[in-house]
Amino acid sequence: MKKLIAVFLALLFVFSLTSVAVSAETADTSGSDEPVGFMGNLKYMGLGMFGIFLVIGVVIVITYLLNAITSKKTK
Amino acid sequence: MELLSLFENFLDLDWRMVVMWIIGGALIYLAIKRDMEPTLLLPMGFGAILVNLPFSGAINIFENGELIHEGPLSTLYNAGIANELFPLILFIGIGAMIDFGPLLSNPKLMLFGAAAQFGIFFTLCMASIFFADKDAASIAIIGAADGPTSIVVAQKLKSEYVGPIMVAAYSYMALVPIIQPPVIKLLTTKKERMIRMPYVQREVSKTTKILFPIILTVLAGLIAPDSVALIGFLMFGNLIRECGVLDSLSETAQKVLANLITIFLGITIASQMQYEQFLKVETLLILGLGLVAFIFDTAGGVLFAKFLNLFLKKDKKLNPMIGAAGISAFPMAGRVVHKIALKEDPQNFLLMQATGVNVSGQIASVIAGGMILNFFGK
Repeated sequence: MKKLIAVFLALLFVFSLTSVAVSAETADTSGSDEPVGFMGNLKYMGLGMFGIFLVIGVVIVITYLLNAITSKKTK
Repeated sequence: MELLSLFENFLDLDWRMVVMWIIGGALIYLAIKRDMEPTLLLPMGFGAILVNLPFSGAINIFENGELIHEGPLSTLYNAGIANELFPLILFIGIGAMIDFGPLLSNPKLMLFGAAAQFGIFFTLCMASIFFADKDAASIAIIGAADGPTSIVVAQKLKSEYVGPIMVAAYSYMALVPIIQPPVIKLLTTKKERMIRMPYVQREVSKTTKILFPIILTVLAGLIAPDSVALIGFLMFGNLIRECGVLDSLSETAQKVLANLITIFLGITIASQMQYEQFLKVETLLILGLGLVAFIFDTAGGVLFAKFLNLFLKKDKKLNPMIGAAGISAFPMAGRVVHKIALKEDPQNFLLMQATGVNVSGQIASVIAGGMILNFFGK
């Protein structure tokens, strides 16, 4: 039950970040000279964290592959 | 009369200069008495005093908009910080110091390094309440817990607050042993802090250690071209270390080069600590937001580990504290986590896992810096 709640909350968090990002997409506030407020840059929180996890995920896969290939060669 | 002219400058002394002397003195005290990042806080503290003397010869002096004296600290600033050169060269030394072995033997630890960058983006949103985008982004990058990344991003974004940002970044890095433990204890139970994670030494081939920095540079460069200098110099330093044929260069990079640049960096950063630029309400805000960044970095890493634990079997559970080690303050964050673990259970050795996560935080923070430049650098 705890797992289900955690997954639900995580999905809700991701969904809310994504919907803010999508709705804010037409209003490109990057480079604005005035403070845009907490919600104004929320999309960058979603994009940024997603981007970091994506890159790190790719790095992890590459590392596993490197370990597998080079250990095979050693054998 | 001539004797009196020796004391003319006393009349030009401003009370705010004295405040800056006290701040400089406080940084020196923290460096010497408390041994907090002395390599940076001491030069910064002393430099703060140097640049806050009337008509200080250490910095450029202007009269009616015309440069009448060129000071060495201003020259060094233009030569090495305004063009981001010093922090990038320092990254070569840092790369040469890092051993990616524990991380490469257990690559999934990198996920915690990613999670611990949450504070950067949370602080971006918080800072956006008070500051324009580019300044908010520059302040947010304090959460990278990495001096060179903070300096490079703030300079590239042409932030007005480079001085306070640099002071905040380096000061909070030194304060990691004070900031992190309360946050960790708030978010974890004693039972969770006592979870043991047996370390299994897996051999990593030399080929992997050589290819890893090259591949990472290419990958990060393709995704975020603005981060090529940051990640490239870090990985270049690491390649010098791992190739096995450049031992003298590796040693030079780790010791002589790193120490030399650190001296220049520390005292030159202080050229941005003139009272007119530093003693503002915005500086206090920036210091506060920097603290928020570090707190939420720690929270992000710990909560991510707790989230993963929901899906792991009882004997495979992670100690959530290792998430806190994902903050890029290397090697401090790893040691803090290890110390707390030992305090809870003297037989719980988390140093290798925490160090692996700490190293991954270094990589993730540079990627985060590249992301920020990608979003706001246009």
